[in-house]
Amino acid sequence: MIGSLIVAAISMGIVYLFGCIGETIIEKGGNLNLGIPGIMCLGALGGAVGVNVYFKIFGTEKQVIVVLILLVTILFAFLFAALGGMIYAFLTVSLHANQNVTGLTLTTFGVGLMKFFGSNMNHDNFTTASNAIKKLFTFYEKLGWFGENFLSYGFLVYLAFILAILTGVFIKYTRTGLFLRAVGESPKTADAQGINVTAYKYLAILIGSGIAGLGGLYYVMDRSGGTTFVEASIEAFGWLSVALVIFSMWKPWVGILGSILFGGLYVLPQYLHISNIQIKLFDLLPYVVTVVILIITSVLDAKNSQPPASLGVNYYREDR
Amino acid sequence: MTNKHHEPLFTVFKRNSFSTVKGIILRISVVVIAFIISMLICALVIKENIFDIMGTFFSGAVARPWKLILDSCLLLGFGIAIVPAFKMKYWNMGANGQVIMGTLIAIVIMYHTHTFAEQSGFNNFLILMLELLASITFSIIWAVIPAIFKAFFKTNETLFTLMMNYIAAGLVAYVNYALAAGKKEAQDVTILNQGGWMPVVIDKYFIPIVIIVLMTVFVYFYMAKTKHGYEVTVVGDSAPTARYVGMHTKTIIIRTLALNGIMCGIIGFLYASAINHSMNPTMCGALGFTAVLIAWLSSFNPLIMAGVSFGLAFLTIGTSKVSSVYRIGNNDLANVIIGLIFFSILISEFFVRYEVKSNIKFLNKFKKNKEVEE
Repeated sequence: MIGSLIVAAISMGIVYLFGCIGETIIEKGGNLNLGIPGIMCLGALGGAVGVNVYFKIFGTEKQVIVVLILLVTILFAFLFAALGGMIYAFLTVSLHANQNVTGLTLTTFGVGLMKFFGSNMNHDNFTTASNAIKKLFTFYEKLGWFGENFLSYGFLVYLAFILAILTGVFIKYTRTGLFLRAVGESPKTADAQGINVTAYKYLAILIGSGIAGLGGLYYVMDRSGGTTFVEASIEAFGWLSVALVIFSMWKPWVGILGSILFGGLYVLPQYLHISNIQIKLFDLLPYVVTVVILIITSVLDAKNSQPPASLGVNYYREDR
Repeated sequence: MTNKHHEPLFTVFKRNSFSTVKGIILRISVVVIAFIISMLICALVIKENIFDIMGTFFSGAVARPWKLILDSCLLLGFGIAIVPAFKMKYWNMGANGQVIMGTLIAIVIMYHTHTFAEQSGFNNFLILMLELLASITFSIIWAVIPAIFKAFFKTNETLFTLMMNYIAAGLVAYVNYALAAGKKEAQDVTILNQGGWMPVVIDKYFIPIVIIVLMTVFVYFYMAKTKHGYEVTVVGDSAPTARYVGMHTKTIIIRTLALNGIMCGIIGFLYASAINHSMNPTMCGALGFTAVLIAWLSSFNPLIMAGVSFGLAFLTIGTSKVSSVYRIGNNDLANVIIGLIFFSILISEFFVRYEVKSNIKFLNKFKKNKEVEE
């Protein structure tokens, strides 16, 4: 039972992990993007559009080509989410609009857009697409517990883990990562150093948003099996992802563990023998734990778990 | 490549001043343009004549005037409730949760007393007062918990209050389920008979509207004329300054959020006693967020907030009419249009605050010629 709980925890946690990686990259560049829930919804919408595009080109009769459908959906999800990020980047970086307000607007906009177009979209092929996306290794059942625990996931799960590790390496060990951190800590110093602050912020927001958008794609096409996504609570997952960034202390590697923990809390009620009414209380658990985590991290106030120094502050060269 | 000195295409300057009239004209025209664009997109999506859609929109918006005024007032009420907190740069995203907690306890009280209240009519007033007190207490608790942690440990209040929203919504789902237990199907608890209901004067929505308007006036005076309001502004502008002049910032933060809680509690009480007589986890929709945007973009001016709230309520009701007539989703279209309009306002804010000078030679030549002609 514990084995299957962990499998379920991982498969839920990936939604948060994508959001967490994306938001970490954005926040390292000094922008607090509260538009992540909206961006994840845009990613989900993009993925759905991608599925329809795939079936329009290749037809529904033939066997689904896994590589191609993954490529198309990921591309569309990334593009849609990055477009949302583009709006945010343009408003906050170029036009110096308030980051929180812009983020909230993006969330309202993205959630509305996904639900609006999502409900008016052709859902016929979603289950077929999802079955193709959901399992990467078809032979995992033959490998016993090892296959069940490590090989039973879809490509996006492995992609998330790889991205988390790569992002961690990028931020900590590369020169570009160092420059990005400099932009987030003190854009003025970075600017004096000759780093193109605007370009760094734009790229961080675009790439980060694109990655976060994959979380939406993953939830709709992998985790929930391609069922219609109008009721999906991607918005709540988006907020939890933003909280996960704080929990992970802006370290994507810690984010992997955190996402599994958050995912575990989400699926836990199904594994306990409790009545329906108690499940309603257990549904609160992820949020309560997040609050507790927020409190603990702030009470401890450790030196190595601080946000980037100029997080949420727009950079305008002429300001003093 | 030559080694010529490279100049950026545009240079941005901060404006010293921008005339108020010009600002208002700019903002209104931006909103109108954004609205027309949204309607065009809408027409493209549902493949209908844009004038028919606009007709449906406007007739739908004014079809139920009381509902329109109530919705405007609710938006305004949410916005007004969070104004003191935001003036303090305390990002209270939890208005939804705070209101829902108020409604929750009021409904529970109504559920347990309504039969009793119906039999002895004169007690209705007492029950109403009990509901009000309980609502306010619960909302204060919900608003003050994050504030305490913010004051003492600098806990991130944005995420804290967001999580409190989800916890409150979850509690409502739980209580609904618990109270309905034993019934065949789980459903929202609705207080059907009049026990604990607000009496109807003129219209069902009249008293809530009056109360919210009074609240708005109160907040205006609180912020502009009282010492408390002044302290809130100082803490918001610069917390160190407030500390140096001897203000107790911690007390001020907690006190302000308690006030925030009182107002959210009143709105929650109105939901339970006068507006819905029932509760469900999504009863406030995105009101709490939209209110943040309204308050911020109106620079916390209650009068502008009232205007913007009316405009948005008009938009939401009109759009939902369009959605239902042409059968496209429910309220989601409204959120898309609200998003577009706020984006355009954010863009216009930039031109109010900054001046853009182009360094493109062709454009400058054109501009100079124009000036010469004039």
